[in-house]
Amino acid sequence: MMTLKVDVIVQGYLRELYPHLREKEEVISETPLTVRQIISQLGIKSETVLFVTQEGRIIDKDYLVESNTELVLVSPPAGG
Amino acid sequence: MLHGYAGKILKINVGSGKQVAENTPPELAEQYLGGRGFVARLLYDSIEPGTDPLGPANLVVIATGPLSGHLLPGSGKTHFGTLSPATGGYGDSNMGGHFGPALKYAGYDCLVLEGAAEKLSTIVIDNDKIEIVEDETLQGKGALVAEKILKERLGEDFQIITIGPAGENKVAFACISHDFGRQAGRTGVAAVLGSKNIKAVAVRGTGSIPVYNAKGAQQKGEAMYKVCFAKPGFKTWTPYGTASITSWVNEVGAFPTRNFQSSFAEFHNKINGQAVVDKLLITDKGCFGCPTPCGKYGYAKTALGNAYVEGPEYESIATLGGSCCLEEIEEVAYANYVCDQLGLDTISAGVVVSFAMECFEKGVINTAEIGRSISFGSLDDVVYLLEKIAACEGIGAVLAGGVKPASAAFGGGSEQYAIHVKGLEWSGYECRNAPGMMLSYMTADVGAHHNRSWALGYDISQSDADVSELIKAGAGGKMDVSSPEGKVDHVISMQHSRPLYDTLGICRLQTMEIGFETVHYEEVFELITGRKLSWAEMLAISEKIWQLTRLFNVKHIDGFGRSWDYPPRRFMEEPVTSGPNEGRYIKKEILDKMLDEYYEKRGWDSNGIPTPETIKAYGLK
Amino acid sequence: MKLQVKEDRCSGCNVCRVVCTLENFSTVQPSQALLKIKGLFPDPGKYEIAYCNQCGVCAGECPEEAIKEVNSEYDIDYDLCTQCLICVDSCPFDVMVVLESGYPAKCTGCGKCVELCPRDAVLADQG
Repeated sequence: MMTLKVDVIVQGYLRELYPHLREKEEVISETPLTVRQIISQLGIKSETVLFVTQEGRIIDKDYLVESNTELVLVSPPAGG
Repeated sequence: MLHGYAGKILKINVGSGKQVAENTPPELAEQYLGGRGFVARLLYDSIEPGTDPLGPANLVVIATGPLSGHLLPGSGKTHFGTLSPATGGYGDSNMGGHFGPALKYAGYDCLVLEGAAEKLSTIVIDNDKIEIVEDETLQGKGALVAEKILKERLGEDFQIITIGPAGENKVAFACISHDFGRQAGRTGVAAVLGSKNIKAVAVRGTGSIPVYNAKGAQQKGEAMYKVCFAKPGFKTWTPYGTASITSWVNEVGAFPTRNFQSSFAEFHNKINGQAVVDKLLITDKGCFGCPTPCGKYGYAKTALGNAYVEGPEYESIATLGGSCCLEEIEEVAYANYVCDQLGLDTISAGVVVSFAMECFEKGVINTAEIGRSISFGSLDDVVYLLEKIAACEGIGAVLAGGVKPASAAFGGGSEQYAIHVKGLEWSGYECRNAPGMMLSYMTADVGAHHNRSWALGYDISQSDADVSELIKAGAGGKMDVSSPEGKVDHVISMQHSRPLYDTLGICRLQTMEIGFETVHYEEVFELITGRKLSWAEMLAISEKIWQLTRLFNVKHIDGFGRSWDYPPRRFMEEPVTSGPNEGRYIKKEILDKMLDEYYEKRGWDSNGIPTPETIKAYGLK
Repeated sequence: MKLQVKEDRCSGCNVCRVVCTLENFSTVQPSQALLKIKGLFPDPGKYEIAYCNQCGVCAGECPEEAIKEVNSEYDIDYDLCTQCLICVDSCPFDVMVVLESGYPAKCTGCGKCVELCPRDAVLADQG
């Protein structure tokens, strides 16, 4: 079975909300995961994520992620 | 010498013409840092109880921070403060752009205006040469038009703030305008400028700011930019700016719709960040020193007319788009443009107009009083009301005071849905499923403003249901009201961290958006000022300022106390009408429980008044 | 380093101008910066960047021949400069300044503006 390995960048207000997380987290799974499932594996409630990008493009939270990629979680402007 | 600071506070009596440039007191810089700290301390010390906000004895304080104008990300911020005509208490508003840095290069940390000019005038500050120029030809000119005229007259290198007709007519939510699209919108500072007959302030600063360790500060500043460039969010967040949040706010059921009857708009995709980029955008427009410009400058075409306009940013989308139900982004942008020219705060203006629309729907006001029938979703009606308000004509004269006095005048139960706290209209987050955010609005010193503490994300993170799963599941799926437990500490902590940026004279978005670390500010602060201060020590100063602005409200508002800290009854009694939070509201008992805890943790009595022990503990007097 | 610009990328933040005076004059003083940004607002809503393209007009006008070409860039030899300021007036782009000392200054090609522009609006001219 193929192992899924994804880097997740957690930044901005999200790190205030989830102080236990580092700026770069790694998610490893033996089963395929969607963006939303990856977020939730990190203990993040997916609604607190404004949007997610991969290689600079916004991707759907229900997208099935391929291995060896980097996801960036963008946080809401938090009252700019 | 105070390093990092310009070194002088310029006080101008615009009536007598008397000007004094005093040295910035080192103890003021030490104890209050700058920006919001200077505004709060100077206003508290200088305004007597019983002062008329629109009388000559009121002050307008314009303050930069120690980091304003230096080489570091987001150093373009300026803070404005006054005894607010909207609330009768502490008022301030923060603005980006280039004005604050120019003020510092001219030699001033802070500008204090008092008195009232006899005729409409412009203050021209050309380094140490200061003139108050009478110019009645600018009377009634749009805020952007006036700025253009003054730029052409004085030169490109002047940075200018202006007021529109709404400010001249002392509308309680008139805003200050700068750089063709930046505003100090909230609490009616522009109405106070209008009461002083000041149409504009123009500044040219050609000098420099003393830096403790210029080489070190340069190296650190350069490194700070490079940290920003390397953040993964640098390229992904910037293209959409604050409008990027629109659909998210709607998804979590916090998007004000139909004067906050609902918190969900079906048409959100037509007025979100993508719509701004697809239908309006000409260029990104940055503030001084900004690596991640949220300003989106565009061109809107509508049936009513076409306009160049900066924005709309999220708050304008929420109040003009959501609350007034303008369903096309071009219409929201055009209404934004009309507000900008008239010099009206888009947040309050959107809420006031949507309030009038609901009053009309409910029969509280009629066509004879309004001059026509009005309805949600009509750009024509929105513009009609905005123009009436700015001119203080007919129904506009009543609405010009804001929803609090207007609802008192209209009666008919309209207080229930006059959406404000302390007399300041609510900004763009509906909170009937977000108790932390609700408490943030309730306890913000200026009234119902979001940027003192933005706890919405925290509320969502604490709720026990996955909203999108519920939406997908169809009718019946509802997000549970997240519990108020633990919210108070989070709100208090944010009320210190968010306003600290306004105190230092910098933008918070690099931290909030792309994760720029606060430790960099500690380091650059020391290199610029020569003073070693940890972020925690700066937060302690911010906490003291929070106590001081509360004391300002106690000093100036008759009978001030707990009753001033409640949201409108709609939020405590009426269920949300649609969307993921349909049926939700937060009972007064829950809010009371949170307020009790909040007051206790603040060292305030059960009426919300700082106790003598608290005042002493913070060294305030 | 010779400069080129892409004005449509500029957001008017002025970071280039602040770092310019820090690098060249050790002061935070954008009024003395060796490049300029003009915002054209409200209409048409864009920025113009005036910068030194090392055209050498200043060198040609200098009566003392104090401005010399070195590796495609023009540098002021302050030992020869008499502060006549003819060069400042001659600059076709109005991007030379007069320092408080009375001497003129021009772009030295230090490249700090290129390094710090957040938008890649100021670039090194590769060709």
